[in-house]
Amino acid sequence: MQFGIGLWTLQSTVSSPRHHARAYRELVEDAIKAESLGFDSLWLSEHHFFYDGYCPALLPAASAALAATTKLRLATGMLLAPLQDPERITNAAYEVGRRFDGRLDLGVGLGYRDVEFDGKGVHRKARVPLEIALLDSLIRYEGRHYNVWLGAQTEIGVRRAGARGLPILLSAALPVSFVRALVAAHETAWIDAGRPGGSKPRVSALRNCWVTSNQAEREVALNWYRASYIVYAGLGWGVTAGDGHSEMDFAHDVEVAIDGVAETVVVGEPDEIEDAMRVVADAGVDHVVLRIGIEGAEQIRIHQSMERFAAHVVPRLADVACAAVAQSSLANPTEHAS
Amino acid sequence: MRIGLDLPTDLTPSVETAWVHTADWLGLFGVTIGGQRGAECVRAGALSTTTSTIRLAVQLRIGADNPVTLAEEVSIVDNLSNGRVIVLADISSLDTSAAREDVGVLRQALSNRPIQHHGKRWTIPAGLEGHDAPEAVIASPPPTQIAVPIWLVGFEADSSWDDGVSQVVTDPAGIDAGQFVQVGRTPLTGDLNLDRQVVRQWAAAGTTHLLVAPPAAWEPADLAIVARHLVPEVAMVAFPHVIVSAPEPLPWPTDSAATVHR
Repeated sequence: MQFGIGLWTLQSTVSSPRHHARAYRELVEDAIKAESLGFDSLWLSEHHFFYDGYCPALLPAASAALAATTKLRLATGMLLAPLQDPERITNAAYEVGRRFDGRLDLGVGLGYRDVEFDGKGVHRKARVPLEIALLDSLIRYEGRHYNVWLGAQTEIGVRRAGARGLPILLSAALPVSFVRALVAAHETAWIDAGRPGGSKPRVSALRNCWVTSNQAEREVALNWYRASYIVYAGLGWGVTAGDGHSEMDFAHDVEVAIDGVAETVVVGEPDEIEDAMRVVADAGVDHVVLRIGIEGAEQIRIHQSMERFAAHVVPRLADVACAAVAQSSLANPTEHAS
Repeated sequence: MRIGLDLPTDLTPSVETAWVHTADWLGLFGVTIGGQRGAECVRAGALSTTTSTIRLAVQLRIGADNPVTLAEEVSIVDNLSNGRVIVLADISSLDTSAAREDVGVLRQALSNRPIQHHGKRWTIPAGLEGHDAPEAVIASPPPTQIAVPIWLVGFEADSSWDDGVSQVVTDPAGIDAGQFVQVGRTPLTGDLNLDRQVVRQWAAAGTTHLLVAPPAAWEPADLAIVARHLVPEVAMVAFPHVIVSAPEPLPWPTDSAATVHR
């Protein structure tokens, strides 16, 4: 099993105010730290027109972090497809890929905020065809040096990815039971489409987990995880009801939604984290993105949790098989545009 | 007058990086960074991490892309570089009216003010049916700088752009010494005496920032000629050439640090 870290949003929030330039400086520092600890990737996230400077342009930021590292992959979780000009973003992705030995994973998503669609002059109803058009542009670009992923949290979405042979990144808010169902749907769609790409495309999942033996820190970390979802009340995000879980509507019932997400959070000793990772692996996930960039928590705290995970959790999971290896997908992409 | 580096836009990453790092080390004020549509801010983002003081003059083609999108990318690079971005706005594909609209929206987006724009080319926000969206948007994050400089290239001579926007001229006759910032762009010849005359001419016209393109035969290490001979030439009136006609000091031995700390 392999591990990345995320989501780096570059925000200056009401809970963690900071100069925007410091957020970007810390991104580069965090990338260097992640690489030194053996994490394979750092995942960024995109939104527009939000009070806290949530990063609206992921590839320049990714480029900066890649310039400071040599092995770490930078990934987008997710690049908002309907808001991009296909030529512009494809050229940008190509430039990042060729500069940095292909260390770019482009996770692409639909988006959900009307203000963003309206601000960029795109109709919400057009978001699926726009995403498909962008995927085609990205996948067909000759000589590309990046991987393409899809972000999805519904069966329809993961089936769309599977049918194209695309790897997927699943939200941290989803209970493991639903993750298991989505993994199965993704694989079934891939098989039904004739196994595009040859190898089963990768399944990655964001998971909320924090390593600590300190009881006081445990309570604080849980509290910060809850706080990290309040932003979604402002963004208007939600998770539709699925297998084993009810709807999470952060915009209209934030406390209930956060209570639902809190059940997915694992904070504790290395053996507790190990158990949680084994459950996720058993559900069919072969790559986990630790969701530890929470609400702009202090950099030193994030680094400490990363260090503990790398030192005390990763070695325990050496026996967990990884279904697909990310590095091989560069030379032989598992994607296939249908 | 300050001197910066004007690079071709089609350099490979390793060649570009060598030029930019050398220029940064030598203290040139800025360097132009271009590239394919979409690649410009990615290149600048990478160079922001590996440079410390040089300004990144990002050349953007204005017209094909939503100016708010361009502003967002510029702002990210400005935050990455701790406030070192200049926008070189290439308006050559637009007529004056269209250029004014696009550059105007770009400036408004970089100002961190609410945008409510209804123009011939852009309506921001679009106010599309069925959207639950506000009547204005603010591009965020704001840049680090108080005001990101916007320098126009590819324009027809037009004196009515306001003080917030400078025009990059290719002839010293186009410099207006009454303006606070005046930008020129010129190739170097590689002949030291000729190049001294060139930079003195631009300085005499009232240029504040001169972007110089290196001769095709130069390597990045040749930028030392600019730093040693051309920058001082216009850093004072009647620069005494005896300063540079003396031999340069010897290079330090590679193990000198160990010697010092023995």
